[in-house]
Amino acid sequence: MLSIHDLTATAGETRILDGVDLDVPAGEVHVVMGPNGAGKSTLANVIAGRDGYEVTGTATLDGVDLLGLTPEERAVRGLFLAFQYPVEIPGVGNAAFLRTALNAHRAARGEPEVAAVDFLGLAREHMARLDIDPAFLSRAVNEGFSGGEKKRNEILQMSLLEPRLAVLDETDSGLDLDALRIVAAGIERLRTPERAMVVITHYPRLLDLVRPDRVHVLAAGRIVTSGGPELVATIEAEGFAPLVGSAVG
Amino acid sequence: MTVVADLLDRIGPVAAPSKGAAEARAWLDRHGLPDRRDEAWRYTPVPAVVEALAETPPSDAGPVPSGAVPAAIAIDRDLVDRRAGRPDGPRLVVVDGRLAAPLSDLDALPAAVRVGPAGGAPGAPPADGFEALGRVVGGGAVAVDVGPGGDRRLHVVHVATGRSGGAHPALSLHVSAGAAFELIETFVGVGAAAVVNAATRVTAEDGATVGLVRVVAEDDESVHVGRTAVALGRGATLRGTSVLVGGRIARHALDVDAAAPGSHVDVAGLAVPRHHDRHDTVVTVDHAGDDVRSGQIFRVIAADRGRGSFSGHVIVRPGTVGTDADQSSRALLLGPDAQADSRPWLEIFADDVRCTHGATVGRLDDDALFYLRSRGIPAAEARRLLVAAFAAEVVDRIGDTGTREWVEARVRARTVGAG
Ligand SMILES: Nc1ncnc2c1ncn2[C@@H]1O[C@H](COP(=O)(O)OP(=O)(O)OP(=O)(O)O)[C@@H](O)[C@H]1O
Ligand SMILES: [Mg+2]
Repeated sequence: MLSIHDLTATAGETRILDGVDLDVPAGEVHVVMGPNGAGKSTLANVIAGRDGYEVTGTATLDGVDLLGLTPEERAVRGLFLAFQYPVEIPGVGNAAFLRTALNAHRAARGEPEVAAVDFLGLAREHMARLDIDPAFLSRAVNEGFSGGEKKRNEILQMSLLEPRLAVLDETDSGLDLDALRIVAAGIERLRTPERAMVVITHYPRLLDLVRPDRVHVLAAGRIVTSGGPELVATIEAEGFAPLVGSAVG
Repeated sequence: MTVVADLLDRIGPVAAPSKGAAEARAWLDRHGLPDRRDEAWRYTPVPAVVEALAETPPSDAGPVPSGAVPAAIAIDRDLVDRRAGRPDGPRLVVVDGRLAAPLSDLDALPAAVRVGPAGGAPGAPPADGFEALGRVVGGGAVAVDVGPGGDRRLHVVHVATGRSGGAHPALSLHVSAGAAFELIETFVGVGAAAVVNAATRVTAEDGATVGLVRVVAEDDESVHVGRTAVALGRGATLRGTSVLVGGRIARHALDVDAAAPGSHVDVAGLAVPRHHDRHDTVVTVDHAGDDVRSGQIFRVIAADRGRGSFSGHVIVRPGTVGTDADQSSRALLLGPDAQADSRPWLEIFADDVRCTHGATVGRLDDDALFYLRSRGIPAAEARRLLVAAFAAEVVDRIGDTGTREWVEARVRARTVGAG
């Protein structure tokens, strides 16, 4: 599914990713942990196509070179990034935004647009499941949303767009327990043999709810250790220092 | 004033001389046309306006200039619909300043609204030399009188055909005490370069509520200078929305005379210059009465080498109390050569004043753009959404759906591919 090889990313003079190798097969949920500033969000951004980095190496989704595609092309091929800091967009209505995004995906699949009324029904259904107040549809995208509400809005988008590969960047940060359960349920719903997920997190609590297939530690721009779910307990007990060794300061 | 004399020699007068025309001529001889020293005209290239007017030959000068519309062009309701959108509610059509009765819904006017020709009687002193010029040339005038009642709206479409001497439409609106009324004025062309010099005068009696929507959507090669002068009675409310979405030069001056106490002024403007357009909006609110509140919001979206300017002139007269004046101006530049000017221009001669102003100039937000694109929305569509969102603060004030959607479409067309 997702295959990353020797990926580097440089911003200005700063080398942020320094040869990342990562393979996420279909049907699996992989967790990426690592200290602040390790490059986790940069990895997510580079996969999603944010510009501003000089990138080398390869990243493919089902064999398709992602790095040669625009962000929107990656998205309609099934890539979804839940932002660590979802962007507030005053003046753009959430409903119009979600419908435009859904229709862009449908257009890429050669499907007709969803009409406004049908969309509202669909959105309400997803919102009910994620326990999001339908009033959020009539607000501007993320504007004035609380931290947790923004994260739920990310999961709502994921749920509507049904990506084949989702990268969740600290979607669990700042969530109360109920919201965490809802997010976990959202993840589990998309856990199917043909989809995969990369979950970036600092908190083992989410991993009690969503059991990962593999855990990777990213430090100083590289994957320094990978292992099974048991790695989470080691990190919790000992921190990152023993794992990353010379890779960090 | 050799410029004035020379200009009048070329373009007029065409109307029978009236007392008003004679007074305007005298005013013009004394004051002349605006020049560089005139602060209110800092951002409009006056010589280019004069040149454009002078280049329109007198009507008896023989052949129609190239690019102008043949005299026989049929301006029918369909053409007006296509050019100016179809409003909900009654419409008057004014062609080159003259009311075109057959195209107007004179039989379907809102209750207690009367429309007639305005006489050539002397009125308030001209706001500037171009308004005086318009009175001298006698461009035609329409008077709208609104009696008691609420919830009424009238749409006036001004069509400029590119006729010689320019078009000098004048409209006066009187709204009686306690009445509520909205006037939508739109200015469009028919595909020929035109020069439009438009003057609207509004009197709102005590307690009246007046909505003014003014959309300048002239053709690309046209020049438009217009002004709206509003006098507010005690406790009257003005809600004004000014949109510049056409013309290589487009200027709108909105002068609000708030001499009576307790009035409320809420104005907003949007300008969308592109190509080499110069769009200029000058709002003046004269707080001459006590307890007058005013708010101005202004947005510029400039593409290509377009330049949009906003001057927010607030005057607070000595001895007044309870003044509250806010002003916000934001510009969105959609290219490296686009420009915006924002000028708060405060003349405050009283103490009991709360006055705020703020201005920003920026470009499309890269983070927002990436966020939208990461959801599969193509870059052009994402830009369109962000531009429309920026314009929405002003455009959404237009209550008439037909007009609002027409303006949205124009904003979209003018900014497509930019940014
Ligand atoms: N455009 C940029 N220019 C320069 N430095 C950058 C840029 N983007 C990121 N960095 C730096 O790269 C490093 C990695 O940032 P990144 O946001 O990827 O970390 P992270 O692992 O997601 O951290 P956190 O756990 O705090 O979210 C940081 O030191 C950051 O300051
Ligand atoms: Mg991060």
